[in-house]
Amino acid sequence: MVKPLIIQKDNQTTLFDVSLLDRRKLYGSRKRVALDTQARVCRRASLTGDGALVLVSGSTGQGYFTETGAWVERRQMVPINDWGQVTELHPSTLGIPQKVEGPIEAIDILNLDVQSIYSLTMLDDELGLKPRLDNGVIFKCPFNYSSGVEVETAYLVANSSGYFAIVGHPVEAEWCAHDQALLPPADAAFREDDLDFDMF
Amino acid sequence: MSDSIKLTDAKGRDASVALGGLKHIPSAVIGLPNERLTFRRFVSATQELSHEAMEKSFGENYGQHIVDGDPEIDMEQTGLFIDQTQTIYLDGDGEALFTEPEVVEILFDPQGEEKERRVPIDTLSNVDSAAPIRWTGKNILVTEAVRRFAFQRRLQLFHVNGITFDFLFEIAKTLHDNQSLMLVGAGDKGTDPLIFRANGKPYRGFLHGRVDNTRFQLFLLLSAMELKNPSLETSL
Repeated sequence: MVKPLIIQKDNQTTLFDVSLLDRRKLYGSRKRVALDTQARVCRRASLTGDGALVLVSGSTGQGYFTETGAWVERRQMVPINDWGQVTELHPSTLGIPQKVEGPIEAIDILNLDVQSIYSLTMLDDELGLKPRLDNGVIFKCPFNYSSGVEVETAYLVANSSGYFAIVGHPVEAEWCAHDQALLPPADAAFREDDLDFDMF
Repeated sequence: MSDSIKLTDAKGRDASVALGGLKHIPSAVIGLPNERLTFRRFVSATQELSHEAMEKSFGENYGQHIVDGDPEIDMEQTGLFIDQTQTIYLDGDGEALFTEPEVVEILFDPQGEEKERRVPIDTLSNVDSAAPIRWTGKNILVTEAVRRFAFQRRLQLFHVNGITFDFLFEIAKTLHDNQSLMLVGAGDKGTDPLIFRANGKPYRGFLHGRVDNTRFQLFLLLSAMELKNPSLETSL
């Protein structure tokens, strides 16, 4: 069972159950499948470049390898920064009280590069957050669903449907000035691959 | 999709402007010190030595055979790195399909149950450098919008010359002064969702602007989902 999100201020806590919210849970989804001549669903497979092997689901593995071809297990790996130094791996924040900040300006949420959105179920409210969230007050706290190289930020919001955590990293944008012919950096261009076309 | 779009303002004027993504760049990556790692796929099992094939050769309880002689491992193929592959389909008997298959689209409800099968309906992209994204005139206060919509993508709009600077600055200032987002859309009336690639996810688009003296920031926020509790939605 997933540990709860615990937020804390002045030694009082509020606990939430967290559940990842995605579009298909709200609106459903669609999938395209191929049928053979007898209307049976076909399986996708991969044919290797030399045509020698047909690889079906479950017949391939993937992993990290050194230049000499040695397999490196995930548990051996550590966070490395741009200068090649080992940095801290941040554990999951779930189950560990996190310092809550608020009220937060609504506009701050619009600075986020959103990574995930969670639906929250309030389990206990010693901190008395419910009436404030219900009145539109926004709070934030550190959040990592699982361990990672950085700690994300969760913005806690409420509406008539429930409570939600909008999780991501704040990204500051460039200001555009008249005398500055500002074009998006090449690596910042919006990529079609960013979009999940399986959904509708 | 190109890196420019055409946009209309409150007066119905349009202009082509540049578009860029805003992505967080992680300060670290997972790896090993002083080692360059590459992520690769490899063969872990071959079809000839699958569970079904093993069962056929050794019977239902073939565990001891695996312990004794590793018959499930193809010593020639297992562990080979996979580079380029082609996608193929296998028919109901597991044989490669050499004719073009019929494709159907299956629709699932929010519980994951199949609700309909149909001939696939292709949706075309409607955001490009020719067709404008239209200003709808529907304002939503920022304080309300952040509690109602999940904004999963944020794109920044940039001017490409002096004329488009004035054009975008005016839009940004209007939105900044109103502390609101402007709903924008595709199609002649601007009521269609934005679709950035063929058969892509439809997004609702919102313009968000900020000004600081003579500088501006203008963003196109994309939302494909409202903030709703799935358990409440599905119980209705």
